Amino acid sequence: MKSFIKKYYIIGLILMALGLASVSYVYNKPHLNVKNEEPDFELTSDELFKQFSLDETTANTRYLNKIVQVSGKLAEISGNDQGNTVLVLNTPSAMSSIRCTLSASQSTIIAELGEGMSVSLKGICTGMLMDVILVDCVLTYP
Amino acid sequence: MKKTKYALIVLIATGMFIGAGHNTFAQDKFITKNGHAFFYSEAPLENIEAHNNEVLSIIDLSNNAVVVDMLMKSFSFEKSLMQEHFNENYIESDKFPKASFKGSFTSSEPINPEKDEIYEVEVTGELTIHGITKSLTTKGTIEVKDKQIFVLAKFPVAVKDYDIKIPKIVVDNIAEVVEVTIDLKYNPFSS
Repeated sequence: MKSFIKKYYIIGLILMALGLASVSYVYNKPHLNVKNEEPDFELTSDELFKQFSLDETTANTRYLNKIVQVSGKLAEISGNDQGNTVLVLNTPSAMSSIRCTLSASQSTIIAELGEGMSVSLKGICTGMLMDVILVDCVLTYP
Repeated sequence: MKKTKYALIVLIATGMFIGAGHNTFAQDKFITKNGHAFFYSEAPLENIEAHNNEVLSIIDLSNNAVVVDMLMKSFSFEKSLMQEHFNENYIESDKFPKASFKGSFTSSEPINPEKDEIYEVEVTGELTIHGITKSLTTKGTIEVKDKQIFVLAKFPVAVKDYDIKIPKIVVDNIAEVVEVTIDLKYNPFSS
């Protein structure tokens, strides 16, 4: 009888440990690592801008929170106050562009970049203000 | 949300028009597309903060108007689970992808963009979060430095004012009043 209780006691402990581990795993679930993920969409900066400017609601449904790989000409290299590099891609509109905040891991790559260069990068689309915004971006070309 | 974009375009367009009429050389309009906004929630069980570095804002010194626009999905949290809950359960960012502010400010003396100085300002306007618009008045500072403009403002947002529902089970994890900070660095707007 005693060993019977002991057995269930141990099983109970194991279950509890598993429960705690899975709660902690869910609670500490890592952020999506864009670098290791295949893009959900691949298109040019012109095309992405066109879709957002023609019908923002539909574009939101399609692209929000998705990994979008976009290629285009580099219009500007700047940064934000947190020290991340921001790459701005040209679109047919003078007022709007594709504005891509690079992930912190990308800081060494930008030394090789210059305005006017063709680049390609993937990131998470968060929507459109004046520009279409991508965050957590990693460079895929060059 | 369309309304804000419209307001933004009107603000830019009237500026251009007025600018063309009066032959003023002083730069009145300033813009940022990578402004920083963050909020802080202090609750018994955990403190949560989230940062947004893609804030769009235009400030017009000719009529003291200011517009601020931001995407909810641009808020980045330390824990991805919190970010998920924020977007899916609380702020419902698929339905309401943006937050915006449209208003004006008063200062004791006119802001001179040519001279480095710090001004205390009072900002009044309408804040839209989660599809709900409420009026907001807060104090802040505007600093002119090297032809750039720095705006700093801090204000409380009560989540229930914006119809954001926090389930009972997590009330100890999320503050009822969240402190929002807007920290923007503007450059001269050239069209």
